[in-house]
Amino acid sequence: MMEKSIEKLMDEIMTNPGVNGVVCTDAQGLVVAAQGVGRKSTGGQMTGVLDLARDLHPDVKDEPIVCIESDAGSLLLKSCDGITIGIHKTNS
Amino acid sequence: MVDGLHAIIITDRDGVPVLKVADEHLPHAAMQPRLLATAAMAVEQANKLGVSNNKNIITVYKNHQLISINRQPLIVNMIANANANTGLILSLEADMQEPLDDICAALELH
Repeated sequence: MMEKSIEKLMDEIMTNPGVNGVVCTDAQGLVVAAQGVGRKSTGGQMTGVLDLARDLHPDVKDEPIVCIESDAGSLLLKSCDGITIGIHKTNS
Repeated sequence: MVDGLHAIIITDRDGVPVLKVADEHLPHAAMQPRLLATAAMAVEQANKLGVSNNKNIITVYKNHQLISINRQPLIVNMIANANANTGLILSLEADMQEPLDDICAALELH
């Protein structure tokens, strides 16, 4: 049931301009669902990066948003209620 | 480096340790030969479920988790805190390809 609603949400994200991949993981870094260029093997790294970002400002209660930019595009990371979502975007 | 990862134990298919690295937080039970032998047996049995070869088994307990990666003829066992990043631990296998190949080659010589 949860997977179905996540996949529906991911379909919706994929329709946004420039988005070419979405990865969704649980709190343990295990991939729940992936679409497009989002690789299933990167789930652990995504939650790891967000854990490190959280450690940078331990006093801030809001969840951090991390944007990793490269020549090929960017990856936006955000965690909410134990679910981490990574959105791959092209530069165009 | 993964937070909460306490040990990496490489065994043969019978659960006999070939290489072991651990910190001081490794639970006592993990040092028992039966844990590794049972993990090896679980991998072997999982291979017989009819859904192709088993890749890995993640077993989560109250305080710890055991991740057994099937890399025939070796099994890579990783013991970590229950809340450690499982995905990150699984991705360590990719970094271990070269040493694992070396160990496999050495085992084949004997």
